[in-house]
Amino acid sequence: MQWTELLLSFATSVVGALGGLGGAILLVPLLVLTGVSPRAAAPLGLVSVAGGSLSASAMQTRERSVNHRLGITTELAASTGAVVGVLASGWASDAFLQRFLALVAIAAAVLGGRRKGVRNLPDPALSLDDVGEHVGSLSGAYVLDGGVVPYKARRLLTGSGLFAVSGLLAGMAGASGGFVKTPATSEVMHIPVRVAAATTTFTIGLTAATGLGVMAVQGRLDLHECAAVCVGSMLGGRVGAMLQTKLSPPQVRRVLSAVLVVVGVVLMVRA
Amino acid sequence: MSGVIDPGARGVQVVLRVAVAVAFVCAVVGMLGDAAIHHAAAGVAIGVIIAAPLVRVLLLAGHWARLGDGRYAGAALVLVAVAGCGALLALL
Repeated sequence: MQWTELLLSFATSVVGALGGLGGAILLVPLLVLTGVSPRAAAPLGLVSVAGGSLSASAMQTRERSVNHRLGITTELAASTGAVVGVLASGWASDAFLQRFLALVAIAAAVLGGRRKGVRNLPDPALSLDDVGEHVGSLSGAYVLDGGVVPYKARRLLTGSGLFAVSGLLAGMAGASGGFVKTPATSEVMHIPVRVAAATTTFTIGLTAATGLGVMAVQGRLDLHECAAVCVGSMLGGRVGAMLQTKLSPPQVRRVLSAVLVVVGVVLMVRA
Repeated sequence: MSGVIDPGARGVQVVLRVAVAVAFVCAVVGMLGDAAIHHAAAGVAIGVIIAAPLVRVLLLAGHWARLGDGRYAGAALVLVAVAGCGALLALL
């Protein structure tokens, strides 16, 4: 039994699903600290993201908190950026990229943590029948404390630009980029943080699956360790998704900000 | 079309539930030992977590196409193509 991988992937996936970040950004450095080589830790990080995302997705889809149209639209920019980033990797040093990502994470933490209250308020005219995403647009409604809150994505071009940059950096630095996507969706595009986190959980699973497919073909997966991380991350993803529905948006933002600060510090130290 | 609630693709829910169950059971079996059966089970678990998100996007594309939401159906297909191109480029 790989107890270390199992327990670490569980704990980091709870936090990852809660904030829509994916657990890899925390899991990979922790595995390296326990003696796993960075080359072996990278695929385990992707297994953690893919497993946590899949586990959380069943619940988030049932509660209709994921806006799939928004996720796919923004992921197009991020994936294109990631492909360019992979091809361009080597243009900037890993240390520079990690320091840059650390600053982005800390700036996102400050932006999200500074905002008070709830931006999108319940509309009494809406009922539970109105919950979900709208056909043909990047808008929808979700349930908050028994009320139904409408939302509509704003500044799509700016948001997509940030996603492309996050994908570019992720492709160059090998990070998942979830810690940029959730704050960008919430703070720039004005999507409620719970919807932003659930939607990002969906998209990072897609990104991780693509990366894992490549690593599987390259023979870089230790299936025994991957299985342990898969179990831990699936349990953690489910617990994180459940906790996400219990917390208020300001609480989710505070947790997200705290985790982003930790991520920023971890990245800065690694650099 | 703005304001019309998407009823959601039922197939997605079913696929996700089955994928979660299969991946979890196989991963548990896979981490319990080093025999061939454990190795095979772990391989199935990893295969499922790789395939599930891509199948989900393809099902969404089909669902949106049936709703007449061609713009987003097309975006979903392009996304799968970009992911495929990325994998191919990484392999080269």
